[in-house]
Amino acid sequence: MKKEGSAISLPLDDVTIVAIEQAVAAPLATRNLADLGARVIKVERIDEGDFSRGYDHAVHGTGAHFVWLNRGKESIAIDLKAPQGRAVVRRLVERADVFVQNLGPGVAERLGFGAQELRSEHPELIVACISGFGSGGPMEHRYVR
Amino acid sequence: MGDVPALGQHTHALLVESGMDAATVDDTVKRGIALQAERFPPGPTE
Repeated sequence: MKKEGSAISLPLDDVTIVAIEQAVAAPLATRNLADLGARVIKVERIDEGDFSRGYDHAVHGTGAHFVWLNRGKESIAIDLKAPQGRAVVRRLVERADVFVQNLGPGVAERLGFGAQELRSEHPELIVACISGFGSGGPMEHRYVR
Repeated sequence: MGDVPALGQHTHALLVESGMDAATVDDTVKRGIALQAERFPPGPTE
């Protein structure tokens, strides 16, 4: 399936990705996948969204990092602290091929988006979890911003 | 290469895609659970 307005097909044209992502690591990963044709649904916080939007105001008021890393994505702004908000994202994930997140340590699990839980309900789902300082090391519980 | 999205630019459409009816979408936005970008109001088919 070609993206609307696209004259050529791309390798990931039929792939849908739901990403709870911010800053650089996950947005860069999904930006590359979007460039290859994937549909990327970016889940953002309702208050300020991906905080890289505010790293600076270099591009018409939006952070240069955000512009660099988020072209071609769809943005849904939703409160994941609300059960109804989480349910919306779960339904989007049910229809997706890939789930990506780079939330802080343990946050995805607390919100019900842990890899094991998602895979138990959606065995075909590819789950990618990106952490700031890896796992198993002395800094694994540190947050990155 | 697509455009860079505004915060919540596609919220309304994605709420509908998730299975919500129009009344529930409106209620979800009114209650502050979801945000639709003001610069991009939902289209007539959403």
